[in-house]
Amino acid sequence: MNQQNNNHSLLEMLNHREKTSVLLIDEARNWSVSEVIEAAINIRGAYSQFKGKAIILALSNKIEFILWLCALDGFASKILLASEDDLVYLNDLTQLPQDSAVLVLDSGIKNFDTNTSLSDIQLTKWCLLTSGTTAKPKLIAHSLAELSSKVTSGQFGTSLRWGLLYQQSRFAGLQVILQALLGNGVLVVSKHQQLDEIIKSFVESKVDALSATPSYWRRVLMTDSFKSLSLSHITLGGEIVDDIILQQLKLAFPTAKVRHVYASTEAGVGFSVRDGKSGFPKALLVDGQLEVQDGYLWLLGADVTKNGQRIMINSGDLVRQDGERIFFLGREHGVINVGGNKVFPESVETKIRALEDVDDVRVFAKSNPIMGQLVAADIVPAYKVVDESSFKQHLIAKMRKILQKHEVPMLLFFKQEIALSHNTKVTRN
Amino acid sequence: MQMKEIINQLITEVATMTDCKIVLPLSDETVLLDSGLDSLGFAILVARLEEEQGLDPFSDMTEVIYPRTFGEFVAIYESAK
Repeated sequence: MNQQNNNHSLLEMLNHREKTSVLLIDEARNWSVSEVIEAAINIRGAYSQFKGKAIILALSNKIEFILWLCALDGFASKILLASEDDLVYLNDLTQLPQDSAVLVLDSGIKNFDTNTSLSDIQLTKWCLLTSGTTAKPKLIAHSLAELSSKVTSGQFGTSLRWGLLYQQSRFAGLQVILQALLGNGVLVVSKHQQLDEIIKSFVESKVDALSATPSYWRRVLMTDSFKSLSLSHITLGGEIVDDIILQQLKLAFPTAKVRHVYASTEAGVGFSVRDGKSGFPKALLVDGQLEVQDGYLWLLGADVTKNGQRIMINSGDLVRQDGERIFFLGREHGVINVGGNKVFPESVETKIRALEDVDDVRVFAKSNPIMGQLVAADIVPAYKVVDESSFKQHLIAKMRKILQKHEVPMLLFFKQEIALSHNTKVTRN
Repeated sequence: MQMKEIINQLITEVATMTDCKIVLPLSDETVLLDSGLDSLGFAILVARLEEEQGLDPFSDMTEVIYPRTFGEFVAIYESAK
């Protein structure tokens, strides 16, 4: 089933599924298709004032989040998917939808901004937060048809049970949700925070399909309970997929179909590779859709320009061609990827440099077998440091207040000065 | 100092830095994922061991085997010495 060309809402598409079949599962209960539809309609009824509004959806409860999604698509004008952690970004986001008005949080409903609302809803825009290629987060709007363009229905009549490991408000999480909802699947979520507990819960619910980043798959393979999983479909994405993780997954789940996907919030779903090897076949390159230019991978962006056209965008991923295969080398300009979280060295440097204890700083990536990369920093202290160990702790405590957890450099090296390259830029390698 | 002691000391330090609560005492049987250190903390621990002890056993492995328990983790570093 390919959803690309239809303009139906999520609820309309769910209406075509077998009503008594199970759609959502968590530790508390199972939700049938008709129960989900009924709950979504009830939300619309209870919040009729949301019609035509832009809604910022920041619910942590995954089931609630999905019920609200079903209610809002085709009802609200825009849905901005967020987590409560993102709210700090939203406050200084210059691109908030002009008509943004309502914030749905665990703690209740709040007005975020007051402006005009849109009344004519043809297609709800789904807005996702990204870090993009600049240091400031930005919003990328997608239609449901674009987001679900790569959804496939259960093969050979089977209905896959997808376990949700990604955050529900992020692009990758949304892909799993839509695959389950629109691909005749079942979505299994867990309320647990500990991975081992989540996996146990997935075993109990007979999850047979999982999608995660390579870093997260490495963690899954470290759990006690992963061997009890019976997976038929495995998806990897969000980071460079190497041969080692592909081999380990094949060893752990010999009968599973393993595919790695290339997607970005800016461009939407790019392509997927199923041959069990890292990189992708050169044959996937298509002029005007997926190209390699000057060593960078370019793909057709999801955003539409003022004159209604979609344009090719630089993914920022450096690639190399080896025969008939294209391999990923990494991100441009030292953007650091900590277990799938992008960290922009320049923006972290700006914040650290503002501390009174620091004269200068260089933030860089340190490769790491667990998270792929970690954030490290060369620091030029603003005063003479007597006890390096306690100064490090003092500095880290301060940085934790101004940076996200994965952005804080935990490896600190003290320097007299920060070296610059010939073109007077901070070296990143 | 014994490798186990070094690792124990670093775990405490990393836990403080990352706001993780270690489930004490750590025994050889303690499952790493239940130790209280999250994956970021675990990654920092491996990086600190590389910086301070010059040991990088995971990158040196031809076939990467991820340790499951604290005992297995210590053993990997002991054999890398």
